[in-house]
Amino acid sequence: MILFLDGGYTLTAGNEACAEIIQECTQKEEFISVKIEEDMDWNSVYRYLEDACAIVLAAGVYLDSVSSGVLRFLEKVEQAVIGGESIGGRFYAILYTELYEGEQTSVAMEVLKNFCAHANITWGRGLGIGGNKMETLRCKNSFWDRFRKNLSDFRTDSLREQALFIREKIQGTDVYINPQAVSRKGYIRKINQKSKKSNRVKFAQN
Amino acid sequence: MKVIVHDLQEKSWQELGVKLQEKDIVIGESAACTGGEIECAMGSCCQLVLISRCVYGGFSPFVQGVLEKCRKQFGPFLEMRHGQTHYEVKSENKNTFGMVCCFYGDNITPQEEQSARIQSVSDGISLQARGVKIVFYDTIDKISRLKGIIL
Repeated sequence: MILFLDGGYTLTAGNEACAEIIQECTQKEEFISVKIEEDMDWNSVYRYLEDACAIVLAAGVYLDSVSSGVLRFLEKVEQAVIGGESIGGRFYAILYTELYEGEQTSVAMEVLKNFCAHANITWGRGLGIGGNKMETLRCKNSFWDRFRKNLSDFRTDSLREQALFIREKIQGTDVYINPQAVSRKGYIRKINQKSKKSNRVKFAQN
Repeated sequence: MKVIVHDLQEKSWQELGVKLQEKDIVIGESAACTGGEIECAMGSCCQLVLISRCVYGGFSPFVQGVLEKCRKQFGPFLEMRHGQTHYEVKSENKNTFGMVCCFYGDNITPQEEQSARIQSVSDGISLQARGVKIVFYDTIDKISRLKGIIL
């Protein structure tokens, strides 16, 4: 069984798409998705963690860290392991950032590895995705981009690759990606233009 | 004015005997602040002190939660700094305030120490601090040594 932990995407796109791609590539396996939130059914979570062959955490990164809610969740899992729960599945991480460089998730990735060392969980592989506002821009920029979205989404291939590692339960080197089709400066320009537009709309509405 | 964010229990914090001035702001688990108050305080302080349990080589959930509340202080615009994209910092005190990151815990591994150092420097760059000082203590009592660092 694959346990998909939805660590909250404070950032733009990719939440359902990420789970869908993993599910698509690991069709034969049972796939359970759990949203990390304050009130959780911990008995079920412990059971899932124990039964899972692979644990996949997908979360947004802000100020070089996963959210405080995810940190609290990880601490609780560690406590459960200390209390006698055993987690045999490998841990895979998919971290998103709105900033252009996927490498800007590497500090948060190290935190997750340190958690694995504490909770005695084997690290699988990390995927850090930068430029996570790309899809929204593409979707809304033009009518035709709606049709091109699936083909042009720079994340799809990397997510499929990550899904293969998850399916085979093997370890791999962490990978960090960014939207190479757009330059760093071009990305900044587009994001800022979009923000200015939405600011104007907000101002007009107020 | 300095802002101190800590995740210590009230008793432990009081025992440290940190000398505070009238305008200083202390944000702890027992002294909750709204997002707006935190943003305002962080955006005008001359020193930001983060006292945190070292959790997997990063800040504790409480301290991270406080940092998350400062979202509006950044962006939504991006800019290039040191060859990387960063959120534009709106606050008036950018490049003028000092940041002190104090991590405590009795079993901090070398890997965790390294992660915590990188995260602190990286956050200092994101917040546009003038400089970042990072210290580690294995017991809460030793945090009182910070008195020499805190303004």
